[in-house]
Amino acid sequence: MAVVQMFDGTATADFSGELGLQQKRVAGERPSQFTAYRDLPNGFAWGAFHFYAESNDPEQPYYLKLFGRDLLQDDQILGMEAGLRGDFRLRLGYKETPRLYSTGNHFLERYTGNGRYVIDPNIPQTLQGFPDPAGSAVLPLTDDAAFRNSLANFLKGAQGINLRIDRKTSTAELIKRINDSLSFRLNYQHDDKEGTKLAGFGAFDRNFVTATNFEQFRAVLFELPERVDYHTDILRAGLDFTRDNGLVQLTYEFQNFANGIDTLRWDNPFRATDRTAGSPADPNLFGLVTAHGLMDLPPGGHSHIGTLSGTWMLPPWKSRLTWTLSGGGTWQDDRFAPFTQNSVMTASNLPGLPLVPSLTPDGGSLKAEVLNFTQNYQLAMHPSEALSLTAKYRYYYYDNKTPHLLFPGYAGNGDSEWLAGLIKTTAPSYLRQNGDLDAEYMINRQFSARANIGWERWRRWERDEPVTDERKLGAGLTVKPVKWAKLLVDYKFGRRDAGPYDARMNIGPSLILGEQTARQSDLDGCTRHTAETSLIMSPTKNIDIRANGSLTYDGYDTSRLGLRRRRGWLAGTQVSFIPADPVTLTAGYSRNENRSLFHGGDAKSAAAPGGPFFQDQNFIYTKMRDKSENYSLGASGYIIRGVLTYDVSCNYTRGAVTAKPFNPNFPDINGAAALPIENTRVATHSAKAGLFWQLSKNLSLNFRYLFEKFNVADPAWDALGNQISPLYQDGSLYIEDSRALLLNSRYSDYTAHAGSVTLSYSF
Amino acid sequence: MFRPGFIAFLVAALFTVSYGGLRASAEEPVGGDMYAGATECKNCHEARFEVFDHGIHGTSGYFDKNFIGCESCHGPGVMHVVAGGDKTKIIGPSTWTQAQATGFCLNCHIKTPRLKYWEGSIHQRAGLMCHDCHKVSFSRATLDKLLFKGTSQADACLRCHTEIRIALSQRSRHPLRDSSRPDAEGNMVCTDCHNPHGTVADHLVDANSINDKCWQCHMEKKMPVLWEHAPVKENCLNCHTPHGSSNKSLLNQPESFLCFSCHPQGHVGSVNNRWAVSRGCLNCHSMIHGSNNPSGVMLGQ
Repeated sequence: MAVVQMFDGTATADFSGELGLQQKRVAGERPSQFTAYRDLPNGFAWGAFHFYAESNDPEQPYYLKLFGRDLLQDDQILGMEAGLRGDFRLRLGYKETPRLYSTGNHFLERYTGNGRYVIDPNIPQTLQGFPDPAGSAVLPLTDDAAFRNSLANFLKGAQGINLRIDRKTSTAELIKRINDSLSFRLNYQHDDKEGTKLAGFGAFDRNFVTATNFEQFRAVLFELPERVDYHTDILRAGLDFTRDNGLVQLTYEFQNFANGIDTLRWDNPFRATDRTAGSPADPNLFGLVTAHGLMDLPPGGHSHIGTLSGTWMLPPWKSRLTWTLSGGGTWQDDRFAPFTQNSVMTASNLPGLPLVPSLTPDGGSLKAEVLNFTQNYQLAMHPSEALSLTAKYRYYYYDNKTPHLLFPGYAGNGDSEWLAGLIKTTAPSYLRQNGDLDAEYMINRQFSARANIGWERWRRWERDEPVTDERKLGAGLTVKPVKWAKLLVDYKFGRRDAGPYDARMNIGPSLILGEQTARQSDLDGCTRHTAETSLIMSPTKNIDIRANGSLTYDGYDTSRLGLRRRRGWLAGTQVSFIPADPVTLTAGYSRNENRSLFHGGDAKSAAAPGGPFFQDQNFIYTKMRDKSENYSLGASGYIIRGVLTYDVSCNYTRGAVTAKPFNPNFPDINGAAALPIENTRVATHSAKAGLFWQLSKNLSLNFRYLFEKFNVADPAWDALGNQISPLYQDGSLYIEDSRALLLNSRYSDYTAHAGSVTLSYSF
Repeated sequence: MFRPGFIAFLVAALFTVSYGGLRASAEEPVGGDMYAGATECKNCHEARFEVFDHGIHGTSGYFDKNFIGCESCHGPGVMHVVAGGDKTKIIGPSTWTQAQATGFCLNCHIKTPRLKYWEGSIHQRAGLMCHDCHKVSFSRATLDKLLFKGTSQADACLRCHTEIRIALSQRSRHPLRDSSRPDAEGNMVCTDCHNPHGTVADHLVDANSINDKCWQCHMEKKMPVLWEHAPVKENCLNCHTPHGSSNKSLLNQPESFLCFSCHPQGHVGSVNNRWAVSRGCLNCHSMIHGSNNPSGVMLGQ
């Protein structure tokens, strides 16, 4: 990069900037997926630029830096830095990050602002007119072609929408040196996230709630674009006090989160009117009852955090003490949304609603408060030239002071039924403490040995399994047989145990089923063995080899359901080789694989659908495997030194998740069979090439080409052949006429080619 | 399971061995004590000197009165000059032990806040030295102000963390794939979340906890709500794997299996199950991170 003198020699500056043309061609089921996180418009494009200038006056060493990338695109970055060396520095930045989930989704409703979607009344009126067997003694049909056709016709005329969030981040930072020991910091960040993302809503319709047949219910699954209007501000101010032997920092941080939309409301496309109970004898028997849906979006709130941290050298044993003390709180007081949108559920027919006066359906708030306190201490000591000791202790307290509220019940299952009964909210708090003692001993220049003991405790309030302890032990060896090679080998052992079970805390409508599953959730009885290794070799100046690997085994000796066992291994290597001066070759391979045995709940017997849950004979086991690997190759060098350089690389990554359910007791007393699940497979190919041609001292031409091919096969998506999908519970007698209207945001593949030519000017 | 006696024995053994005379041989200064001055360096190393002189380190003299150019790190160079450039007469940090090599950098950077947890950090314990990841000389105007080796910051990290290279090309991922090219997904860098020099939190995450880091960008999940999903506020990594996943939404297991790990009331019996298609359990339990709705106890609204 050239450097020029400016302003009669009082300043030095350099600059480089790019502009060019780019073109892309993308094909596939949903080509937009190629630009999920980037913007590559066809045609003219600004590339990267930077400008730097500094004063040549040693008494006034001012400087200015401007830089940017992908200007005027949705992923642009802009920045400025200016300052007086040794005195102050000011940085300003602006960054846009797109997140494109999918394009071309068809949605029946129209957004009218403030989180409200409105549907053409003709649609729910029409769809409501189709036979609805809820409340009758007749099992619903597995499919209803007329219903599907009608809905498909409506979708043809529906507007196309994109699921996309744009994030725009602005930052400012000022550092001012007050004197040789003290400096002041001020940071501000403003972040806007706006757009839509996928949300789901499920309503249930229970049928035949009798003693022998209580779980036949159908579902309405409805996907819609959730409006995102998040605004975050973070302000930090601090003082840094420095001496030759250490540093002390005092920092205050304020965070504010505002959600521009409190609630998401929509019209149920399947029902035009709210519906009363299907059977007077059973108040739980509602069918697709609500004509309107509501979802309470994340509430706004704010935090204040103060931190005192630092590091200081201590005389004995060349020690260094580092610490962090941090305390603060988070507050949230958004107004509650209504209990229900369903006009059937009113105080008149549901006596006692609301129980808490302040919680009128359209009023009240939580007045939530969480206090945080963090302590962290780390003492590194060197008792001798050969021995290093490090002791660490950490304390993280999440103290939830949010009041407990008592509710008379709730509108459950997607606003389709009122579930009466007092429900008290919980405000879970936890304290996590851990400590480690590490020792490393350098036996000689070839060998170092290290050992580690550690402990961790989780204390959880308002949980039925309040205490969990984990103890760890590790040892390792570093071998440097020659100057150009280093091998690290480590082994770690850990054991996790849960404390006494507190049945009093198994309250409310928790889905935790009791001691057994609570212990399982906290990984009680887990024994972990981990072996890790890494190798760094540079046998000659032209070869660099890195390799790493690990083996992990997790065993669970007390859990009956859920994860039973997990084994994992990882191996990877990266090699750089310079066979001759103009060429550098790189190659890499890595593979990661985890296998686990999962113990699921039972498949209800097809022969006795009303039978009890959780019979051992019916338990379904699943062998799961998550495998992924990556191959990479690259070459770079020059064809004409200083004039024509190139850079090519290709990369192939694939991953597969397989799940093989089986019932070890099949055929059992109830005939619960495990049904196969297809595999999830992901593959990404990419190839990149670049040619850099230095036309003159100031001008250069850059040719870039990118190829990407991506495909994913996911049974959870592949089952959705149509946007309207009849869904079935497993087992032949459990066919249900569930209705789904999904946004079809899935994607399976794309193939992309992108090329660009840019002209770069620099001085 | 670890009795206090055993721990005491282990500590005592380490101390005994330490004071037993086994010690590494300290490297003696090789360059004498006379400084040659930057001009002498430039005479033979002109190209490198130019880069250094206009780089971040070349201008660091404004912050340190004792700045003496190349010899600030390479030590006195007169003997090296007199010997006609004999490499054995000048300090080369790459040939030193970790403590000696990093010691040079820490002489100045002990005041750098991001380095305060270096000693005892996982990278320090793994024997890494500053120049394993950083260049000393680099253009002052570069975007890559942290002097990383390689084409980008991620490139420096992924040389050793090969498993992350897999993750970044997975189906769901954070956008930090190859920021060196304008056509890449590169609006994040590793240090947006990590401080490789040591941190308070696990996994070198640069915050008081994993969640505190995630909340900096996903603050909508930070606020306490009426109906909490307890694992959410404890650790995002209970459900997510942040670099990339074969599953949707950076989940560390397929949706339903993930949920059934703690809620094993049911099972995913087949692909036609309504709890398996599309978003699995989240088809209905949309507010899985917590709901502030009075009727949101099942995290559905």
